[in-house]
Amino acid sequence: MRGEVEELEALLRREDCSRDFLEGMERLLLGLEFQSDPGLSPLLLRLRELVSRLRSSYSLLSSRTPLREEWRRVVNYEFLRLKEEAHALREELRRRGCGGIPDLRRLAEEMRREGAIGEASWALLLSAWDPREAEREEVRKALLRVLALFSEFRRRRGGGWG
Amino acid sequence: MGLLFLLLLAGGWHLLVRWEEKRRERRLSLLRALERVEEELREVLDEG
Repeated sequence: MRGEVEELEALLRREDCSRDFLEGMERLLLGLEFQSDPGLSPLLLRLRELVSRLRSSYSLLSSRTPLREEWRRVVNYEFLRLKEEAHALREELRRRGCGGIPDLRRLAEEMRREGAIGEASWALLLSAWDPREAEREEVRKALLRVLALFSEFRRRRGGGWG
Repeated sequence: MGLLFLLLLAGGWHLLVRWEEKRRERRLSLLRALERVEEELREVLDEG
């Protein structure tokens, strides 16, 4: 997908961990997961694990635990580790010429399998999919919104990544 | 010869317009499908 490197660079400019940062990373990783590029899988898997760990540590910061300061240190450490891996991802995306169009058929299949959408929407999406149109800005934006919602769906279902 | 050229030009233009219309229809149906999926996902999230 066009613009992924830019999106990643914007995330890498963040100085601190935040809810926005975590959601941005999750959305980006989910988008990359649905591109037909198996070479990225090990790196994406590592990043997913780091995001998931950071999210759970970050959630403890808002609690009134006496170990709050300890958790802050853990969050900072995990945030830096995640950024290191994200730098590696950026380089890999640049090297590969920035990926391609997300495979909507795989995304639709996954959403149906996980119960996020019904059969009718799944069938509609498959019949309407046209990769030539995916490069258009309005289609890309709509796709990003769907990815963000599906990412939220997975997160609420229990933080699982499939 | 001039008339033939004009006819070919008109035919080519017609085909181009039809092709662009079809492309637009495809894009709109894809956008509608994505919109429907977006609504469905929002509903699922609201229910949860």
